[in-house]
Amino acid sequence: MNFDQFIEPIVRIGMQAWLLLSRLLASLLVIAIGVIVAWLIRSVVSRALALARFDRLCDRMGIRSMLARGGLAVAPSRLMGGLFAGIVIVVAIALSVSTLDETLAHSLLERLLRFLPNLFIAVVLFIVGALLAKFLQRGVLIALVNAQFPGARLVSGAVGIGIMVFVLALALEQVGLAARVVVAAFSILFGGVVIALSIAFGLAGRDLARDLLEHYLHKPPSGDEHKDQISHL
Amino acid sequence: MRPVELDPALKRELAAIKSAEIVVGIPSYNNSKTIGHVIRAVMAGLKKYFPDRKAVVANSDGGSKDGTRETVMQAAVDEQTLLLARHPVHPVHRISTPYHGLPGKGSALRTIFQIASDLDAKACAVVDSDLRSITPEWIELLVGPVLEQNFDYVAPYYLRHKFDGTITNNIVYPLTRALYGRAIRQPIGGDFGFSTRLARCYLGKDVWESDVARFGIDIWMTSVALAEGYRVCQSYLGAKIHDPKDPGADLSEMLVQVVGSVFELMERYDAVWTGDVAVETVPMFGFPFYATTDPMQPNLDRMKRAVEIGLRDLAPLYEQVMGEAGVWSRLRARASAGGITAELDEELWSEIVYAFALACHRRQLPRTHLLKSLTPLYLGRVAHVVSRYMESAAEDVEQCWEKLCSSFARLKPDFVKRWGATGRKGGSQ
Repeated sequence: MNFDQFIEPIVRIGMQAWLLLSRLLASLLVIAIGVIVAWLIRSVVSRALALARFDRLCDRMGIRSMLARGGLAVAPSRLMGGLFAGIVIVVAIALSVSTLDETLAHSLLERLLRFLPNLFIAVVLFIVGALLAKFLQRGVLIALVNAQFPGARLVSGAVGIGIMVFVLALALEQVGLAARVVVAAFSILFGGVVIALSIAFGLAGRDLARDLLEHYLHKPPSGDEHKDQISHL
Repeated sequence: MRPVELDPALKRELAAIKSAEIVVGIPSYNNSKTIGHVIRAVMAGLKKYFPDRKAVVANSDGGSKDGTRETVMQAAVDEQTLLLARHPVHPVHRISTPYHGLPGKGSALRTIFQIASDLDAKACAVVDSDLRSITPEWIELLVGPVLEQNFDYVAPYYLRHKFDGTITNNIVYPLTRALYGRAIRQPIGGDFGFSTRLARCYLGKDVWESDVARFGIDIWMTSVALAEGYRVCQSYLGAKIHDPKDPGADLSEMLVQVVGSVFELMERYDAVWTGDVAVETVPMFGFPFYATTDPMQPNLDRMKRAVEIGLRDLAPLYEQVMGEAGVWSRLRARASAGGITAELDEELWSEIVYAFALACHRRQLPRTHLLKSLTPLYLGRVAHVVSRYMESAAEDVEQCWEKLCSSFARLKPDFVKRWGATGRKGGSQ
């Protein structure tokens, strides 16, 4: 057996391993540089926007309060900085993959480009849905509190969760993530909740249901429930 | 801004009348049961107190289906019963016209302002069409100060039950007084006198597609007159008795319309009220008297329950609105000590109203949500006043409003500072 025949595959494997390792290192280096650049860009963009009174502009346009209402209590300048940093990191990841395998990178990039519009729509759907859920939940809560309904928080919470589940199902369907499963799960969950609530109300709240119906359909207000005689205006 | 759209028949009538010295406007919508009495009282007032002035009574109707406009045109005054010192020189013209624009009192009054302007009247008055207690003297008291004393705006001063007008007494009166420095006791009374100069000022404002055109017209008229420096006075009209309002009218909706209009006007005129505001007394005409009004049975338990549920379920929202300057922590401390309604005194209530005004200014929450969430606290404040003054005389309750006004005035400098720090400027228009 020729010695060269024995050593050649080992050398080839070693070279391939070295090549892979160097590409992996290069890829990690690209990501590391990407993270540093993203961090720098985030700082620069945030500070530049803050200096340009971008936050005040957003205040005036009601954008900041809208974000806060949606649970995103962060300065708009920082949010924009984060967005730019995110884009830089996505680009860095794409570049790092291309150092490993150009064909794979092209394929990934192509799929990413096809996927991005749907992802964008899903994100917008989710943000708008979250804001809407918060708005409706608060509206229901205030209306029920003003009507002196005892379970106001419970009902408004259920409204908020119901809307969020629906929005989440829509968003996931948009990105094509197990679309059928999501829709089926939502239908089962939502239908189940409605039936459960109906049964619970029918069994536990039978008297309350009767009282409510009588109050609205037959009985004039009487006793403690009579309206104030005060003229408010 | 769209110009006032007048009915073609009205234009022809105005062209025929050419001019008038007095215009009395009556907005209406399905008021056939009461408007006849109002028309008779107005006509009698014009004949008795202004016999030598050319006058027009203008009904601006929102599309009544119950024969309101026919009643307006048919209502007759028996001059024999009026004991007239002088026979009227001019007949009183009567006009009944539909108004255009958003349905509501504001659009109806806009048409009346335009009629007064077109006829180049010297003085105008508007009275509600559902009044049962209007007398001819009201016309003298609303029109007289404008004609004889050159006032631009005459606000009404009614004799009311000590617990009546709780939104007026607890929010609108003390806040308007603190902001503009003049004590208009009934800023949202509904019946007013004004000069045509002021009517033209109203017509020039671009507000007729907003809430002003609907329900916020009364406070808007008063605030514009105060903020733009017109000469303002009050006339004592006696008791105001009118048809009961819609029993289904939602209190929180009332708060949205009335308090929302006050807050909106604060944005518009912040350059005026955040500056140095001179405190001036407002002249009063008429002959004030006090009488016992019908007893009233406020539902205290219901009010107390409302504030308890509100404080429990709306706590995170209240913290967001009143967290600054410790208002929420004080409110919560008193609530946990028990009997919050007993503790909603003048000081704390003024702080709450200012906190809500600031939150509205900063757009911390959607405006409707913010104003509707004030309902439980407002009911708590009403319960506090009712339980404290249940056995007191009306004069004692009046002292309570004076204390409240002092509290609003005392807290105003700090409020102005915080308002300015927010940086949103409305600017007067």
